[in-house]
Amino acid sequence: MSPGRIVSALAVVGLSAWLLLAVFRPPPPPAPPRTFTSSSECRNCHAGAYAEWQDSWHSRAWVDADVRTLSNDFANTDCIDCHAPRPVFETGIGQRVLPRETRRVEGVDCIACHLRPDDRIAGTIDAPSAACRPVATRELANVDFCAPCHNQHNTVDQWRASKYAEPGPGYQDCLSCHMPYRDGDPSKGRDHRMHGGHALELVKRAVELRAKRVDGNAVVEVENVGAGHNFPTDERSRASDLFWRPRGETTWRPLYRFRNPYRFEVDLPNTELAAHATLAREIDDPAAAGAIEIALFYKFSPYWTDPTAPDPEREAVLVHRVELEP
Amino acid sequence: MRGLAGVWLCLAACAPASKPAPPPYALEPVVARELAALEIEVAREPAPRVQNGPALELSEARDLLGAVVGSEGKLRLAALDDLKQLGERVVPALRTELVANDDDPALRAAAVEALAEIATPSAIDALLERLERARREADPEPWMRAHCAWRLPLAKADWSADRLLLALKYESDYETVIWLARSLEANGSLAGVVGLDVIARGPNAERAAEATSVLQAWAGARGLAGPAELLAAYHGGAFVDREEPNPASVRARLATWKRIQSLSEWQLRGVDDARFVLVQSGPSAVDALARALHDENRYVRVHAAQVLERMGPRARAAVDPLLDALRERGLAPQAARALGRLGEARARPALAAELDRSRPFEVRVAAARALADLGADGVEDSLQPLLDPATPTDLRYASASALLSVRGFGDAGAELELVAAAIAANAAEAPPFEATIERWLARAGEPAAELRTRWYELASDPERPRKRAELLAGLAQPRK
Repeated sequence: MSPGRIVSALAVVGLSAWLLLAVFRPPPPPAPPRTFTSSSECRNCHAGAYAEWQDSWHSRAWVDADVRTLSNDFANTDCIDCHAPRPVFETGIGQRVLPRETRRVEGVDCIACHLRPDDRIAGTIDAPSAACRPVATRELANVDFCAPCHNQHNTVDQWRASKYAEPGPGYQDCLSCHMPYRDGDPSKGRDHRMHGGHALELVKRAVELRAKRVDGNAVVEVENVGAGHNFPTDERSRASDLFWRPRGETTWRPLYRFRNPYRFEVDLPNTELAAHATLAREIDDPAAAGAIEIALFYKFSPYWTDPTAPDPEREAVLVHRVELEP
Repeated sequence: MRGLAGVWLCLAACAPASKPAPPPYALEPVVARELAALEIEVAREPAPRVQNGPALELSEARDLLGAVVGSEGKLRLAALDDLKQLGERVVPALRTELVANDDDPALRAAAVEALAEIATPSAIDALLERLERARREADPEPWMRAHCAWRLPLAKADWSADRLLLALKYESDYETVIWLARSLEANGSLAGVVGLDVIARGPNAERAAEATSVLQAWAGARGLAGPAELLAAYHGGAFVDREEPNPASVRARLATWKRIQSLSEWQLRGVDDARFVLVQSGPSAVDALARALHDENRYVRVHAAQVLERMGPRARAAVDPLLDALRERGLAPQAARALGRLGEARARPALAAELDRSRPFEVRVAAARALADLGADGVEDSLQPLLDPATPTDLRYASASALLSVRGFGDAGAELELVAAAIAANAAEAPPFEATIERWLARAGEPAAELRTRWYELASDPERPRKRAELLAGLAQPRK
C-alpha cells in the first residue's frame, strides 16, 4: 500500500471517528438546580443586561424617593405588590402578581420577570447545562406579561384600544418602544433599561405641541402622536402641564393639566390624553393677543411646592416649547 | 426458622409506630361555599312587613317630613311613626330626598332620621349609599354624611359596619369621621380609634377637642386612664372578646365573606379596600379569614394571611390555622410573618423549623423576621448558624435581628453589628431593623439611657440610617 493511500485511509478513519463523536457525544450534564436569593447573582454571566437593569427605573421601584413619598413609605400597601413583586410566572402571565418578603430593595428585578416556578430561568434559549438552566420562553415578549402591574392603572387597556394594537404593519406593543432591540439588532437582544416617562426623548416623541391663531385668538393643540397609551399614563403620580406666557415675561401661566387623579381626589376629572387624540385649548386672555410662548412640561410627582405659583422650570421637565406671533 | 420468624414478629410489633404523614394541605372552594350558604340564609329571613299600597311620591313624603319638622314632643314622634309604618313604601322617596340638594335641610335631616327608624335593609342601604357618596364624586354636603353616620346606630344593623369601615378609609370630613367612629362603636367596633387619634392630634382645634373627648369617654368606659391606653389596648387585642355582637348576624357574616371574596379581584384597588375593611373588622372576621387560608384561590389565601398579620394580636385566635398554613409553599411566607405579629410565643418552635435549609428561601427569611417580631427565646440555636457570612444577606440580617431580641445591653455581639449594617445598607429597609434596636434599647433600661437619647435625637435627621448605624459601632461585645 502506497504511503498516500495509508494517509488517505487514516484521514478517512479519523474523520469518521470525529463525526461519530460529534453526532453521538453525550450532551453536557444539566446544571444542578439552584435557589436564587438576589438578582445580583445574575451579574456574573449577564453583566450587560444587569447593568442596564440597574440603570432602569424597575431597579428603583422600591427605593426611589418619589415612590416612597407618594406611597407614604409604602404605608399604601397596595403599592407593594407591584413595586416588589413575586415572580410573574408564579401566578401566571396575565394574572396579578403577589407581594414578596425578600430583597424588596431590588424592586422589579431579574427574578421577578425571569424566575419560573421550577426554579429555571425564562429566557430566549434552551440551555439546561448553563448555570441558570434557561428555558426559551416566548411569553416574555407578550403584552400580558407586563399587564399584571402596568394594567393596574389601565395602561395596557389603553394600548388595546389604540390603533397600535391592531394586527398589521402598524402593530406596536410594549416592547417596541420600551424594550427595543439593542442598536436595532435582534441578535443583540433587548435593552433592559426599559425606558419610559423618565426618558425625555421618548416623551418628546409621544406628543406634538402646536399653536395657531383662529380669528386672532391663540389656540394651542397637543396631539398624542406616539404614546401607545394615554399621555401621561398612570394614576396619580404623573402629570403633564401646559403653560403659556407673553414673550419677555418670566412667569409661566397655567393653561391645562393632563393627569389621572388619585382615587381620593374625587373632585378632579381624568384629563389624560388618549392615544391618537388631540386637545385644543384657546387661551382666553387679552395678553395672549401679542407674541406668546407655550410650553408643555412633564412631572414625575403631581404636586407643586407652591400650587398658587407653580414653577415648572424648577419642578418639571420641559418637553416642547413653541412661539406664536400676534 | 420459626424462632427467627417469631423474633421478627415481636420486633415488628414492639417497634415504635412511625408518625403518620400529615394529610396534604386542603384547598377547597371555602369562600364560594360560605357565600352560597349565607345567601340562602339571607333569603330565608322574614321579609320586612310591607304596608299595602303604592310607593309614595316625593311630594307626599315631603309633606310627612314637614309634619316631623314642624312639630315637637309626642306630635313629632307620632309623625315619625307615620313614616315608620309606611316602611318600604316611603323608602324610595326618602332616598331621593337625601340627594335633593335644593330642598330644606331640616326636611332632609328628618329623612335621615326616618330611614334609620324604618331600618329595613333598603332603608339602611339608602343611608350608607349617601354616606359613600364622597367616595364616588365631589360631595358639597359633608353635613349630610355626618348626619347619616350619626343616625345609623338607631337601625341596629351590625352588617352596616362593613360599609362604615370602608367609608372611614375614604372620608376626609372630620365631623363625619367622628360620627363614623361613634357609629362603629355602637356596633361594638373600636376601629374608629385610629381616625379619632389622627383628628385629636390635628390642626382643627374644635374637632381635636371633640375627638379627644370621645376617646376619653371610651377609655373611661373600659377602665382605662386615657386615649393612649385605649389605643394600646385596642392594638394589643385587649377588646377582642368584647368587640361586635356575638354571634354576628347573617348579613354581617355575608358582608365579611364578600370582602374576603374581593381579595381575589384583579384590580389592587378593590383588594386594598378589602384588606383595609377586614383588618379593622372584629373577631368574626378572624374566624372567617382563618378558614379562608384553605380557599382554592391563591390570592384569597395570601391576602387573608396578610390581613391577619396586620390585625396583629387582635387575630390571636388564628394562630393554629396559620401554623398549619406554613405547610403551603405559596402561603408560608405570609403565614410566618403573621405569626410573628400575632404575638403568640407557642409559634416559635414552628417558625424556627422554617429556618431549615430545606425550606424555600422566602419562607426562611419570613420566619427569621417573624422571630424578630416575636422574640427568639429558646430558638437561638436555630438562628446562630445563620449569622455566617455565607448566608444570603436578607436571611443573615433577619436572623441577627431575631437574635438581638434575646440579647441584653452588654451581651450583644455579631448580631448587633449585623443589624447596624442592615440599617446602614439601605434607608428604605432600615425601619424594621431600627424598631429592633428600639426594643433592645427599651429592654436595656438605665445603662442604655444615654444611647437611647442620642438615638432618638436622630429621628428626623436626613442621614438618620447612616448616623444611627455609626452610633451602634463599637457596642458589639465579643461572644464568650
